[in-house]
Amino acid sequence: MNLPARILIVDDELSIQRAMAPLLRSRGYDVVVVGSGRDALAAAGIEPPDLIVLDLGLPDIDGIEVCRRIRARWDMPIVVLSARGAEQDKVTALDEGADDYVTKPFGSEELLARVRAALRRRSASDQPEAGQWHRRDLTIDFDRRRVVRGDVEIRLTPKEFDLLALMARHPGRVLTNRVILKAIWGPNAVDQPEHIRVLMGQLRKKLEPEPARPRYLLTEPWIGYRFAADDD
Amino acid sequence: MALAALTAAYEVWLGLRNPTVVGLSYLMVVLLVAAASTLRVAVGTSAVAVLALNYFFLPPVGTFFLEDPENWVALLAFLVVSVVGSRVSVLARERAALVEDRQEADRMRQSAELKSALLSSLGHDLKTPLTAIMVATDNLRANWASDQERREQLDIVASEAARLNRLFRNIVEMARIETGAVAPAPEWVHLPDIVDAALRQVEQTLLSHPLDLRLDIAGAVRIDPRLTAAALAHVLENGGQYAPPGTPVTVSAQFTGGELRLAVRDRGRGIAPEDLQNLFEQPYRGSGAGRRSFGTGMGLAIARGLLAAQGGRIRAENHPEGGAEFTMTIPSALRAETPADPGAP
Repeated sequence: MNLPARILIVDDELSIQRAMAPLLRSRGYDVVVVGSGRDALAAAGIEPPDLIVLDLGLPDIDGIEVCRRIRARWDMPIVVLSARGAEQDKVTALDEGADDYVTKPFGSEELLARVRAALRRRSASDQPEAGQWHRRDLTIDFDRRRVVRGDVEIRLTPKEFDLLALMARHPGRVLTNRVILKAIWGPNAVDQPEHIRVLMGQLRKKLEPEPARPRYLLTEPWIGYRFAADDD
Repeated sequence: MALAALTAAYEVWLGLRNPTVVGLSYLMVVLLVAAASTLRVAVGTSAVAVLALNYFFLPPVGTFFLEDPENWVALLAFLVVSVVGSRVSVLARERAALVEDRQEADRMRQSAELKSALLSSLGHDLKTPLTAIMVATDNLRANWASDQERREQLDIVASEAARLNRLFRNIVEMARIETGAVAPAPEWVHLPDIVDAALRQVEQTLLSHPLDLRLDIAGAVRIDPRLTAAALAHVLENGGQYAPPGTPVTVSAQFTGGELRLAVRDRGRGIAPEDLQNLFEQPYRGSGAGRRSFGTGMGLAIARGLLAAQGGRIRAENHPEGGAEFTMTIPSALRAETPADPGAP
């Protein structure tokens, strides 16, 4: 049997620590709690956890800066907790390498689902990004660049396939406009989000049974897009 | 009116005949009128002044006829000066009104910025206790928790609900102050009663601090008891939160020069110089506060508002022997009382 996943909680609010830690322990995770950005970096340095739950409002170092410093050394998933209304903070955190976010106030199930999805991605990302990939009734053949829904082949343009492949390789993970633009169009296109809107519209029209109510390619309002995870 | 009075005074009592002196004093009246009223009234006044000058003082006196052409020129100059003078003063007043409008717009903009800062801070202050309560109730509902763990989760719910309640009370209080809905109702009261009421409001926060009360005012003071106690409570709460547990909090009172002075001193780390400026702005937390579970960042702003409603003020400084000291000053009256004179009004 595998060792339980080790989760580092970084939040300076005592009440949040005392509610979240027993919740995660009850699901069998090994939980470490710290209250500041400095302690978070130190704790990660001693024994890198499998996942970090990081509050963006910390007393010492800005949460986004903590995100950047963690990402510079380690690749474990980071789930960001944000109480701020501004979507910009979340986008910046995701651009700086966070994998997902939960907006306060949240309930237990929401947090647990994000944690599960992020840990699953960690084990999935060890696998090669090639071969065939199945999800529900969707099959993506990365080698031959073919997509089949049910038993109907869907013909995609090269850019449409690139976008689908990018998102399908990170199921459940929020990809910001910036990340998508950079990956598909290159670093010079990061300020042209209309590219995504057009391409996403075309892709949904071909792929989604009901393009107005997407099942695979979900919109994260004001932030970006997410390929539906198993429990979405 | 003033012109008529001046004319009568010169003509009847003083017997002044020098047209230059009279003309200059008329000019003064015209300019005063211009400074105080509209252009039309000012021009009207200057026309009357010209006629009066001509009739009563320029030869031949008693007629509107002028025999010396020099006097025509003098009269014309007088008319031009008075019209231009009144025009200038009207312009100056218009410009002053414009500046005032602009200042009003600035105040509105600052108030809007303040509101948005307050809203974003409230967003955080509301969401954190709500999150703790939501997760803790989920934990209570689940079946994995031991009795000990359940008690802990219940404690979280109770303390976070109390925190939300504090926040809610502060929001309401702040709104009452900002809309000017706080009306002072001064009464003759004894200071220990005020301090007592304030202490009761912040009992929990001050549990870990020994109290040192120095309320040596003999007699009753005239202040609004509720506003004063509430302001004092906010200041005490602030001290209790920032000073380390176990350190004493001193409340002292003085009556000097028609003012009641209430001072609250703690033995914490004092106030950082960069915080002294903004301490009473809302929402504000000291740079050393981080984001602890207590506090809404509104307490000191509320204290200031409650004091201002009764003409009082508050000042913060670092005590020379360490710790922060807050001094509240309220205009008041003192009525000495002796046992023989049991407080007749």
